[in-house]
Order: sequence, then C-alpha cells, then structure tokens
Amino acid sequence: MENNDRHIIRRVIDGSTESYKILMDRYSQQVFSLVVKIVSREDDAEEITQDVFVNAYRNLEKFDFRSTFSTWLYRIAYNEAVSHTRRKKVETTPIDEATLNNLPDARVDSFLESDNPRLAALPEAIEALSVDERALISFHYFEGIPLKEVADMMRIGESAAKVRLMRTRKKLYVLINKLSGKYE
Amino acid sequence: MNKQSPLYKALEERGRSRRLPPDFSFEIMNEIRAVEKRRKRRDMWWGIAGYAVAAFVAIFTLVYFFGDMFNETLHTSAATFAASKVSTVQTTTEMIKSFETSWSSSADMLTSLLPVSAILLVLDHYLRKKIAVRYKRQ
Repeated sequence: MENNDRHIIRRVIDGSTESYKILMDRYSQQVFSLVVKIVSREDDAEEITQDVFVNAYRNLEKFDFRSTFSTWLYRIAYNEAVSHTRRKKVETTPIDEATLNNLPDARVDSFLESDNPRLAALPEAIEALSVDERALISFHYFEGIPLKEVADMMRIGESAAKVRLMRTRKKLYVLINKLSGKYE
Repeated sequence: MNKQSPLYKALEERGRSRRLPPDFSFEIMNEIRAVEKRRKRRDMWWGIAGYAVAAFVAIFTLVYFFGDMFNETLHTSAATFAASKVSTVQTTTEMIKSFETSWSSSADMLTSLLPVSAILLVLDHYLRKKIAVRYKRQ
C-alpha cells in the first residue's frame, strides 16, 4: 500500500491531477472517521474533511515520505480541526487544576480500565474535552499511533504529550464522576 | 491500543453511524480542478512577468550600451544621404558607401548583442529548470 501510495503521489505531483481521486477514495472515510471523533459538532466533520483533502493536494509537493501518507493526512486533519474549532469558538468545560493535580495516576488508570457503571458517562465526558484532548486520545488510544508520533503531529515534545495524556485521563475521570453525580 | 478498553469503545462509538456522502470525491475533485486551474493561470502570469522583465533588461542593455553607436550610424546615413543629392552618380556611390557603413556598424552591434541575448535566455531556462527540480524534490 505504501509503495503504491508513493507511486500515486509522484504521479499527482507530475501533473496527473485525476490520480488524486485514488488517494481520496482510499483515505477519505478513514480521515472522516477521525475528524468525527475530534470535533464536537459532527456536522462540521464533512466540511473539515473536504478542507483536509484540498489542503493536502495543495501541499503534496511538501510531503517528504518520512511518515505514512495517512499519518500526514491525520496531521492536516488535526490542524484543520483545531483551526475550525477556534473559528467557531467552541466552549469546553473548565476543571480546577488543583483537583487534577491531587488525583493519583493509579486511581485514574484502574477506573478507566474497569467495568464501573459510571463509565456509561464516558461518551459525554469525551464530548466535554477540548479538541486537542480529543485528538490526543483518538490518535493514541483509537488509531494506535505511538505517543512520539502523536507528539510530532501536535508539534509538542514527547514528554509534554505524556503529561497532556495523563491530564486528559484525569479530566475524563473528574468529568465522568461529575456527570454521573457522584463526584464531591 | 486495547480494543476492549472502555475508552476505545467510547471512541469507536463516536460518530459510528456517520458516513461520507457517495459524491464526496466528486465534489472535492471539482474543487481541486479549480485549484489547479488557478495555479496554472498564476504560473502563466508569473511566466509572462518573467519574460517581460527579461525583455526590459535586454532592451535597456541595448539602449544603454549601444544606443550611441546606433544614433551615430543613423546620423551618418542621413548626412550622407543629404550630401548625395548633388548628383545621381555621386548619390548612388555614397548610398552604397553609407549602406556599407551602416551594415558594418549593425553587424558589430548584432555581434555584441547576440551573446547577451543568448546568455539571458540560457539563464532564464536554467533558473526555471532549477526551480522546477527543487519543487519536485520537496
């Protein structure tokens, strides 16, 4: 697939615009599924996916083949989702920093891996996260992208990504408990 | 990646029912074709601008460095022509002479101009090729 992608990308760069449709047919649903997970309004996902493919086409000559084409598309999707959310000024639920800092990591980890009935509130808690936080957990926990690569995509250091990931898990813990009315 | 974890399942569930419309690729391809058309038009205008600048430089070089020589040739020819009105035979002789002088001066001018034009064209071709190669490499 990768070699084939490389060949198609070369053809597009050499002027065969129509070959780009092959890449789009191959990756559009994948990108769309990721964008749906990142943005809070599902209706925006289609528009963002369109922008992702148009921007990818415009910048195809800059693709250096160091990552896979899908990872490169994910990076564009993340940037598009972030700028789209900024334009729309989507509100997120603020959480007290002290609450997050005082939570032991182990408690959060065991809770999120358990079959606790309060986890029914997890989808709603994910909805309350910021676009960055949703992107982080989607890339790492759903797409299975290594944290180092996720950090590269989000243009942050690997250690910062680790901290952010733990903070997001803690935030989910707090939100789930708030939403199920059993926190505090 | 643990596919059994509640987090994975919650993310999987998010937007599960959403699919892209079947004409999605068609719409994007239309937009991309428009982008491509705009890019080609922009490239064409840049090309025209490049050639206009090159032509200006060539004309400027001509006038600046060879204008005097050309002017002198023109004046000499005019003076010779006026003087040659005295007699037909004399005129014919003088005109031939004048033509020879002009031709000689023009040949000198052309000899100097051709390498300049050739250098400019080669430079233009080389730069375009280099820029194209660089973009392809990127």
